[in-house]
Amino acid sequence: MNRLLTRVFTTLMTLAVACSGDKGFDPEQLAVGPGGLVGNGDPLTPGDFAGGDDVLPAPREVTPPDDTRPPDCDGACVSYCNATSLQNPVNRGLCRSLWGVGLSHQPINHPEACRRLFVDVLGRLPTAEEADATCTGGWGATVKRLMDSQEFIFINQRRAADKFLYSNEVVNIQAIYDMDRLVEKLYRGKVPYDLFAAVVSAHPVLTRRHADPGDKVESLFRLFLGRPPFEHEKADMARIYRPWHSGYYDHPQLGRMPDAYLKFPCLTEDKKAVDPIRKGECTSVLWGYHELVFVPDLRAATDRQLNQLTMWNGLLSPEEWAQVQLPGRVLATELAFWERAVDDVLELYLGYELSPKVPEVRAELVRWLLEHQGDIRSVHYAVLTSAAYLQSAYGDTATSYRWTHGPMKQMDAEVWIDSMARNTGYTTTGCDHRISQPELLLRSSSIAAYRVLQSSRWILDEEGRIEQSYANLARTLGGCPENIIGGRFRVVSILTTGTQLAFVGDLCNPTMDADVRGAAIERLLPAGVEPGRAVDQELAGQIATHQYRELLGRPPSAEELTEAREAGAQCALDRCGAEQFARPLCFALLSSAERLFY
Amino acid sequence: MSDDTKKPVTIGRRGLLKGLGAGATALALPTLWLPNKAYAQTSGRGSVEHLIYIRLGGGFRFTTAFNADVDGDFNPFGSAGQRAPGTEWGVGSLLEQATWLEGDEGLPRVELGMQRVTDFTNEICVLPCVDHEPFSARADGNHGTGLERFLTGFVGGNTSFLSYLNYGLREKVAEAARQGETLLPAFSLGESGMALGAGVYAGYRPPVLDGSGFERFGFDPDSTLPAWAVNIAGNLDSRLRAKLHPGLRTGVEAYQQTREATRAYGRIFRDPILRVNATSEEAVDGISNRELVTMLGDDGTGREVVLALRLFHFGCPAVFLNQGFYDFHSDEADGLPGEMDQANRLLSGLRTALKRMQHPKGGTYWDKTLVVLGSEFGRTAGGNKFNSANGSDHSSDLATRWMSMPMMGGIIDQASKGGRRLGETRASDLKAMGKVYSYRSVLKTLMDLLGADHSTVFPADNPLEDLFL
Repeated sequence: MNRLLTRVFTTLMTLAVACSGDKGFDPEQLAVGPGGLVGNGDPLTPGDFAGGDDVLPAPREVTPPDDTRPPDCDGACVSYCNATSLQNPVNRGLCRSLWGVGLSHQPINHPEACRRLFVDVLGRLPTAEEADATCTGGWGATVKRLMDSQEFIFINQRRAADKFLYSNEVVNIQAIYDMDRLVEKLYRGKVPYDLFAAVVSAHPVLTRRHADPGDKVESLFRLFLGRPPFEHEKADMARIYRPWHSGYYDHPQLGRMPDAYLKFPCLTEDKKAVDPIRKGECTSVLWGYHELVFVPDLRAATDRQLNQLTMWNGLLSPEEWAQVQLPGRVLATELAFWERAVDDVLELYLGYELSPKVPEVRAELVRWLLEHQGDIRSVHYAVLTSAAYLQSAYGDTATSYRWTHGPMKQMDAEVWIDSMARNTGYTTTGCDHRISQPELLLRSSSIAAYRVLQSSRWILDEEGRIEQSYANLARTLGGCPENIIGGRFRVVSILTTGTQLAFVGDLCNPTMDADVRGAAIERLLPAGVEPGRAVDQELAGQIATHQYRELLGRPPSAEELTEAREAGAQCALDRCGAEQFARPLCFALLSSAERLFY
Repeated sequence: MSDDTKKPVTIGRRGLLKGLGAGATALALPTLWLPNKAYAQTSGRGSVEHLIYIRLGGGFRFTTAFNADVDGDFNPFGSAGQRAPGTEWGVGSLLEQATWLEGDEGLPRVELGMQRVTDFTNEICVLPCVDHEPFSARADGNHGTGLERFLTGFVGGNTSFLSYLNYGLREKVAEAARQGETLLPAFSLGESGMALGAGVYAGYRPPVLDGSGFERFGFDPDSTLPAWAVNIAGNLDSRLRAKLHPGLRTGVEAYQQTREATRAYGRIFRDPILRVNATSEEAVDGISNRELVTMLGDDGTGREVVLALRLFHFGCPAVFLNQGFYDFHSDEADGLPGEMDQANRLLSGLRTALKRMQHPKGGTYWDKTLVVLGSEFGRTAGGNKFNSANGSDHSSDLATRWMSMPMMGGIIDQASKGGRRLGETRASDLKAMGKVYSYRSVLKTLMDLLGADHSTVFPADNPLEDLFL
């Protein structure tokens, strides 16, 4: 009987779609999933956050602590910090471990700060001119301007792909696109962080990736609490993950894809009512009484492998989605959830864990985030405009307290490659974090899948093959992860360094090999300098000044300028032309550690 | 109070050149070899120099090839009509596929000595029932976690097999360095998941190489850059390091060290024999790159295997690579034979090449190499020959559960295990009728055979002595 009803229902659905005026498959509108149900209104806040231009206090005049133990902020210290007019929550929290106890922060210069901000917020290094033009006016306004850009959204979408390990081998690509859209809404301030977590907790990107209910709980805890669940937590929450089943969805255009389905446990034998005895197996009681049992209706169909009724997640109603998003809502009631949210942002921008060292920063940021209705942008803004972020990484400090000097991080592979290309005018292709295994789409032999690839960031050549050179390079360096296992990595190894040197060699072409498609010489020489012009010390200085600004984003120091002039003199001994000087110099600059760390 | 916990992971020259392992010591000084009784080991410990570990990508339906004497629902392609004498494991008809031996195009390969896999099944030993978790109630048929188990041994495992191996061979590598020899580490060709490493293993992550060669290392800064440019490059890094806060210098120092180390390794990486795309006629170890490419194929995987054999020349203990894509949720009936054709060619080509290649330490590479095939899980059609899309899936049943792993190489010959089956399944329902081995035990066995220290790896799983009984 059920099978008959299912057929009737399927037929009706098909007719409904056929009569609805659906214009067919659109690869640009691929996203399907629960992310489409939320964040469709205005942003939670206008995005004009306070504390972007705090005037930082002078250190209190006391003997600063040595670094053998954590600083102790006594009553006078607390009073001193309370008397400051700091609005930035990170600065407010930091005061009791920094200025209030007599320590100083490490002042930063404008190019260093702007360079760091560009990489963190836009995902690339600026040229000196670009930095001068962009990082103008107040720092808070600059940060807001960059955070409003599409590049900020994109880089956070890529970070989310790394975090949630998007893999189109494991998860329906439509769900991945939906998750990507949800992340955009998060960073446009349209979805509060707790709602984001709730949607993620039942999103196919999570539920289809992990087969076992316990694995889903483990993943959720690691993602949003930063720790694995205790056994009793895992066992309890796993009960409300019991309905999920990893199945396959036959998309009419894209073919067979892995996707999440719902099963119907904890019902009576006839599957028509909740079993009063077994419903405990589908009920979480650790965080309050949460029962999650569904009774099948016409939307359910028999899975031949399971020999059970299942229902495709795409048929869930908004109310049912809200029900299955229970695990995320449960976690959001925990203070640790909000603490982890701010800790993630702190670690992203600082490169180390500040919260365990200065817990007041975490407390202030959590309060700040809740005051801003869970708009995660407020935390990004607060950290990017804080003294913890705006400190120099250069120079020694009186103590080694980590928060008294600035961050120093290694660039992601894509940032390194893209910046190289942009600074030299070199043409590269790319990879698409939403489609970690593009070859799977090609293998499906579907025109629709091909169109998805065409509209993605992957580049197809004239014969329809995927251009993989960028991905191969990036994967060797830890980027463009396939995310089946592991994911992005940052490593300094012989292989990565050798690969980087070879790439820079191709880009700068220091040997002037005619077969190498290097960067255009015009980008490596100051305007008006002919490639064949004979190099002397003066011209070498001009070329070096140009390249330091273009390639390293800063002017050369006096020592570096002298060194370049001397190099020009040596080069001139061999009747060297401007190009013969510029290309090896390009290699020397671009292969430096300064291009890898920021 | 400096607390930079996120120091960059470095595979520096020093790290790579550390130490010679107990197994290698045994090889160098066989009469002085005293087995370490502190942890379990096999009779064949240290008897293998090189490992080629091939993953049949996407989940492989083992019952169609290496455990094929089962009911049609598990093997719709049937068993092979003939198999080499003395073969007791179930040989699938798909192993008969050998289009690469056919016609004029196949003639050179015939002349080089290649044969159908079914002609040498008696040189292959199969473990029909290798299981991720023998005590688990069901199979792990999930791509993500199944592959995590396959590459690291556990769900959420943070160290991959090859990282364990490089760590286990650290003493061997260091001893070689003391003797002035640079030994390459294990390599993962194209699979970054095989290069995870946490804690003490972080510095032993294998290099991940995409593509089939070291062409990217063709650039030689030493010989191509003018001295003034080398000077500027070096000074830039030194100045940056000096300017940095002392607590932040680690990354730059690592970069400086590896840049220096690339010179030593660069000499190896630029060696012409690693230019497998060049198809050189020059014979090295008794065989030319052209002959190897003829045997193993001109496609990506073929060249990766050629590269693996050439890496072995430089002391590389193991290479991992993916072959094919077997995640046939649809069209398996049409697609699988073609993929198997390629896998068969690799098996046959490897056997022929290894038997011809002369090892620098004497004997052939076959004597000193083990070839192993695996996959993250088996496949099922839910009690039918195929699923509704003419393919197969992966779930929690026995067909998904058993990874029927084949092994071949000199050690299998020496242990008289060619053609043998270590374990058995019932044809009707795949119920295990013999031994079930944990997958971690298999990995540990591979480490043991390579002479690696595995005292800290998978403590609950022992290497398989059954290979030598």
